[in-house]
Amino acid sequence: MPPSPAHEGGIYAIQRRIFSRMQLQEERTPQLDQIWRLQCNRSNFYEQITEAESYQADLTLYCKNKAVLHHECTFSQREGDLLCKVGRMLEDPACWGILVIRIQEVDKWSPPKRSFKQDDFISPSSWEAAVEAMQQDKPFGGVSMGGSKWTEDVDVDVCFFPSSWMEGDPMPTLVCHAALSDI
Amino acid sequence: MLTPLQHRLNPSGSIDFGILDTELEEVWGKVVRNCGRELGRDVAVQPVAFSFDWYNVRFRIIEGLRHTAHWRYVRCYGPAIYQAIKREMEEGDVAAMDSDNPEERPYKRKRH
Repeated sequence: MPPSPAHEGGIYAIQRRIFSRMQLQEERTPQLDQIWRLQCNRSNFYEQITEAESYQADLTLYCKNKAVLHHECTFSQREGDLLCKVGRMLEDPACWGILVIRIQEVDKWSPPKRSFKQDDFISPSSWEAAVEAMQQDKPFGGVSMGGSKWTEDVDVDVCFFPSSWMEGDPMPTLVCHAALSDI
Repeated sequence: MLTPLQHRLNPSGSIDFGILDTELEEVWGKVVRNCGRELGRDVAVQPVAFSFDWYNVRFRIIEGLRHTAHWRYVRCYGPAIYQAIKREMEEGDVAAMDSDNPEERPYKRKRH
């Protein structure tokens, strides 16, 4: 399954901010341009007991080819899978931490069972206008259009896993769950 | 009308964006100073202020949810058929879409 626009939206917001800070930082120290890079979906290898595994972080800041800061955005991903990945990535001693945005549908979404006909066509502009209006009242509410439900209500959490965090530790404080959801 | 996230903190006060912002600014400082060390002792690195625009993060997520809903709809509808109908609509060829004969429907046509 390719990444969803919700997943990409979270990454984009983080990416543009980190990049703008990097540019600002380079105004002070131009030499940084020679050694740091912000890259998407690059494989990182981690030594495991039995095999070498690679993980792709959504966004990683590299310094001299070492991954120093990661960002992960998940959309309806199992918490166990996320924590396993985060735990492995933090085993790298060069890594300072991982910023995670977790977008979680409260109920599991299933595609409608009926087939779609020509009369069910909704143009992108009509869709955009109707759903945008819907989201004014409930930004993180489920989206229903044309008699079918297309997303469920979501919770959005943001948290930072520091380098000291290990798999099995409690989740870091989800600092903006309420701030993002109760609007 | 959306308002900045910073103004929508948990009313209980037990959870605060400031905690995350402070933590991230500290980490940013460490990362930058660490990169500076890689440049050599003669390069002084002073980290710039660092914070996320949480309003923008929220805006992008909401936008992404809107597009995810549409993305799922198109996948269920059938992407090829959807795109063909959309193109025909954009070209203003709506009359053919009302045809009772499936063979005359736009998505049955070959590309020009």
